[in-house]
Amino acid sequence: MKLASTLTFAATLALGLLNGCTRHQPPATSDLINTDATLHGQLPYPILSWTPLVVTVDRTMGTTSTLFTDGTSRALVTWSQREDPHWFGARIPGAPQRVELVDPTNGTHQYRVFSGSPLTEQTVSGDPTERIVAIAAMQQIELP
Amino acid sequence: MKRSLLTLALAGVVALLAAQAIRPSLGTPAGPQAEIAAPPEVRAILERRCYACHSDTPKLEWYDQIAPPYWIVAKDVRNARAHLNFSEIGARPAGAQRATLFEAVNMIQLGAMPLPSYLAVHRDAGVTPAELATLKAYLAPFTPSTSPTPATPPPASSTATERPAGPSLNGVPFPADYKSWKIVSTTDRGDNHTLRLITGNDIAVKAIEAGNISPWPNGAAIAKIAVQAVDDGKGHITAGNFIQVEFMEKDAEKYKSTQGWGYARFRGNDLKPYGADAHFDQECTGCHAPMHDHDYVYSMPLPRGGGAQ
Repeated sequence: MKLASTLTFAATLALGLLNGCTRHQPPATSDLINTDATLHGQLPYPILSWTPLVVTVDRTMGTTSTLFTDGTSRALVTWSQREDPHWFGARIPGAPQRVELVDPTNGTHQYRVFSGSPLTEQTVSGDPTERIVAIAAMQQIELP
Repeated sequence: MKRSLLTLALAGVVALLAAQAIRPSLGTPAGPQAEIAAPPEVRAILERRCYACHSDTPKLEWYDQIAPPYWIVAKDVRNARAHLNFSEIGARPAGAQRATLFEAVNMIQLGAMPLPSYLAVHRDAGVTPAELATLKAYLAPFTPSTSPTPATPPPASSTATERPAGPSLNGVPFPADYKSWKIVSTTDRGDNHTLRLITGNDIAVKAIEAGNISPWPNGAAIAKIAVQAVDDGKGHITAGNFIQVEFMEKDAEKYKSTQGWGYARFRGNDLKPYGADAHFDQECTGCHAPMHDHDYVYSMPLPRGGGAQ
């Protein structure tokens, strides 16, 4: 059996070398890091460095949102979804759609929204109370 | 000189003939036959492209039967059947069969299956784009739901663990500070109706900022937190009960035998270490193997360090 093992190893090595000759190039940066989802623009806070609390998805809109906090403020970042190139059956963040910020100030909540590419602060039209309440009501994932 | 060559050739023929007597087994079926539950067109593709190794009826070409190549084929078939046997998984729950098919499709899509070494010899054995499309259409991971996800009560062991979880069965420690880690990415998994929050420790986050993840530095650790995806029947998906958290801890030397990563999975609110023994991580390395060009990491981190971040 020792002979068999040696020959098996030799044959495997030969096939491995054969395979190695046809291996593709190292992956592009865009296949290592999800550059499509970059939050370009002038956001007032480094939101991705905040603590992520929860993830939601809107199938109708084809978007996914993640809620962050720095302990005081909350930020809801919404991306369009894209197919995960590495896993059939999964979707990951694609292009950013908007960032909503809720800052507590003087006993009230200030609501700001950033959208477009690059992300730019928009004038809030109408009463933002509904959005403030919705974002404040989002429950974080309960982790053991 | 001529005589030496003749002797050498003769010795070679004798060795080749003798090698034919060594016939390692292809392995025996592990369980009762229960073919995978799938429509005829899907079964036909699996039988055509996968059953040669992943079934109770392995199919060897005449040139596969000649040793020493036969020894490689026998080893591959044994490994293939141990990992996935389409002739037997019909006995498993429908969800598990479906999960297996998803894994199979992903291995095909990533070029890991059929094995490149197998395809080098069996040139026509590859799954065609049309066949892959048929498999994907059958699985249809994001079929719209028309009714809300039934309410699921929290698991019996729903009390959050107060004490730190023990290490994984392979010795990978549970990182007690994982709740404070920062975002790496998120995933909406239509294949198993979960949402995933993927986070990383400081070393991982700094590596992403520096674009230094190929390979990831020692000490980097990534958590994949899985929760139930709760659908309200109108397309709004929210996070439900915690299911599990998985970790990858990078140490190229310490975890040399497992791709340079220590793999761990803790399930349920009592964070029960996954697996029957220390070798459970072979499941992990098998699944992550196709990502060798990405240092075995599937997740594509959200960019940091540019723009406003």
